[in-house]
Amino acid sequence: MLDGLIHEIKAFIIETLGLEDIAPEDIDQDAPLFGEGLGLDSIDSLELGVGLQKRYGLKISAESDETRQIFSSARALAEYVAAQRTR
Amino acid sequence: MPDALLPREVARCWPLPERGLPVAWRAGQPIERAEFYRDLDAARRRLAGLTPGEIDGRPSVALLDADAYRFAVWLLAGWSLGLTVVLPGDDLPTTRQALDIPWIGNDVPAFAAESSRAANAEVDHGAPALLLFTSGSTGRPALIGKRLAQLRAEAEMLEAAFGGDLPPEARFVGSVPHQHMFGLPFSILWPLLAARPFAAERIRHPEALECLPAADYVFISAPTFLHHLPEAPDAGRRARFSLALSAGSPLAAEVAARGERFLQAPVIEIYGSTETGAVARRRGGASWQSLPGVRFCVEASSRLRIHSPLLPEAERESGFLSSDLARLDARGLELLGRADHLVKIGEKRISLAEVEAALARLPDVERALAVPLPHAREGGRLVLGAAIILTPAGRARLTAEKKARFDARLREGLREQIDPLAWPRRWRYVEAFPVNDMGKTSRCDLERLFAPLLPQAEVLAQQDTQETQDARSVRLQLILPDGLAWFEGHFPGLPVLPGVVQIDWAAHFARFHFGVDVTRFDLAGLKFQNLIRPGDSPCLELHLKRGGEGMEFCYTLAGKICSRGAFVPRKGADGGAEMETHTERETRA
Repeated sequence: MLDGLIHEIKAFIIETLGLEDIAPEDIDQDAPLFGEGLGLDSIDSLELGVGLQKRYGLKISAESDETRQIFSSARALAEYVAAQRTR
Repeated sequence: MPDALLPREVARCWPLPERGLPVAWRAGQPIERAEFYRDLDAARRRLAGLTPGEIDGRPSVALLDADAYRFAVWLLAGWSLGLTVVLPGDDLPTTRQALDIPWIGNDVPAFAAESSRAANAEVDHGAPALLLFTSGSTGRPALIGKRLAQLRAEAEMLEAAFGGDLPPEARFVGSVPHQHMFGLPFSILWPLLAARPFAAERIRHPEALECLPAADYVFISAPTFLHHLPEAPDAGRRARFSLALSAGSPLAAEVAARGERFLQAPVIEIYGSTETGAVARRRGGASWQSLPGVRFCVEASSRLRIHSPLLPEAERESGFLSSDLARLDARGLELLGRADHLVKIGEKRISLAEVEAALARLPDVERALAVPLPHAREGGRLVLGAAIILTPAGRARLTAEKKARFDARLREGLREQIDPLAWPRRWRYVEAFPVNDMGKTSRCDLERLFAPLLPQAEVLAQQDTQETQDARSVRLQLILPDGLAWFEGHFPGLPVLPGVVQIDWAAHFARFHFGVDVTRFDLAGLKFQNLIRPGDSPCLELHLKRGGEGMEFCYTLAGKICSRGAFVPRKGADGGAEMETHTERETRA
């Protein structure tokens, strides 16, 4: 059941950040999104946060350790969205 | 005809000293001075019969002639009649439209006289004698004016800097066009002023150098040409080279070394610009040395300020502030890239030159260029694109793995070198960089490599993501980005979004949102009812049927249907539908 949402989250990341030539299946669901892995940066983190709020009606915590955990992989982000979404 | 003497008006514009040598050579034949004077007189009479156009209130003609000798004759004839000569960079229809004045040169093939004698004309030495275009490497080409005194000063400077080392009879040959501020002064005006013969024909292939008649030569060239020289000279070569000069783009050390091996002569790199003329020289990657009369200062911003006797009087005092970053020390001048090659991403200043250097250090990369690009999403951050020429090993690796994986590999290689904000987001692998005829890569040509192929999409509604076997649908708001590649040429003057592209996008978003590959399916019920044009924001709806029985798509614009159709599964050999989702595949694996 989470698989569908993981795919959706991958598509959401690609669309939100305008990543090019990457399909959802190219993203390893357990690989880190920032730094190594997808190579996202601090501006991407801001843009993803805004996008998540708009799309799923959830707020990313200001607590940086928790944020790091949420963004640690596509799977972690999907789990967080599944638990916290309001729309 | 009593016109075998140099018309006085020409001599007043451009001194032509007599050293008993031919003026030029064409196909191994000398063009002697008497013939030159006859041609000049005929060209003057031809021009006198022509009604010139007007630019900034000055009588003007455009001159484009592939033959350097004929070009020189027209140029001097035009100047002696008080005309401003405009040098277009090409003769594309758009250039001709923009320059609505008489064109001479290729357009008027003979110097046949039309009026019996040329009128005496006043030559205004304070007005620009020449208008020419900058190379466009800093953006759009701009028109720059040059007075006669400036052009003469540059020719004199070059003779003072290099003439002493040249055999008196050395002939000038060039591989660069003379429509620009490197080719014109170096391959025509300098020899004309120093009474040195020059070749009428441009060298277009390295083989042409092997066929030159026995003589001493000065070769005016550029990195792109030198790069293509063979490793060693042909044993039968009769030409002896005294000197080669290169400008236009940075000359890599190994290209310079190859040039020196092949030509068996020093290859000297020239630094200059359309605005300033030539300002410095160097050999073999050493520091730049200023040319006679030129002085450099480096501003606090690291930008280079150039003082030169070639500058227009108004700038003589202040000097010319170039957009190059530089460092000055006891050894000379070092150039550090262009000031406009700094971009800001986030609040961070990023040097494109540094990104390019970091990429070039990666084992798979031979050469790299970085270009700032607007984000695919309106109002989004600036991103960097990288245009890359791969090494043979890199090409093999790219063929063997997915592009996304390869992109990630290069990005990974930058980790230790540069800030993540400066990592390129968009990657293009090319055989060669697009160049214009001066061997320069303009930013416009580079940006074209990154023209968007897909629209931005925002999910408006999505259903049934939980149960993969159920019917699923998604509604997307599409925004067509500026410069979308599909509008180009489809159709000229009436851009519309091609139907095949609409089908392709439907398949793309199906894979994207449902993880379903519909490209192997048949198409059914295609209907194109209304056009989608630039600036439109159509909606795309995708409905995936229960049990994988196919997918319907529909594009609408403000509630009106633009197009619709369906992907229907082809019956496979086993009778079952060939439909598979990536989620299923992942689960099985």
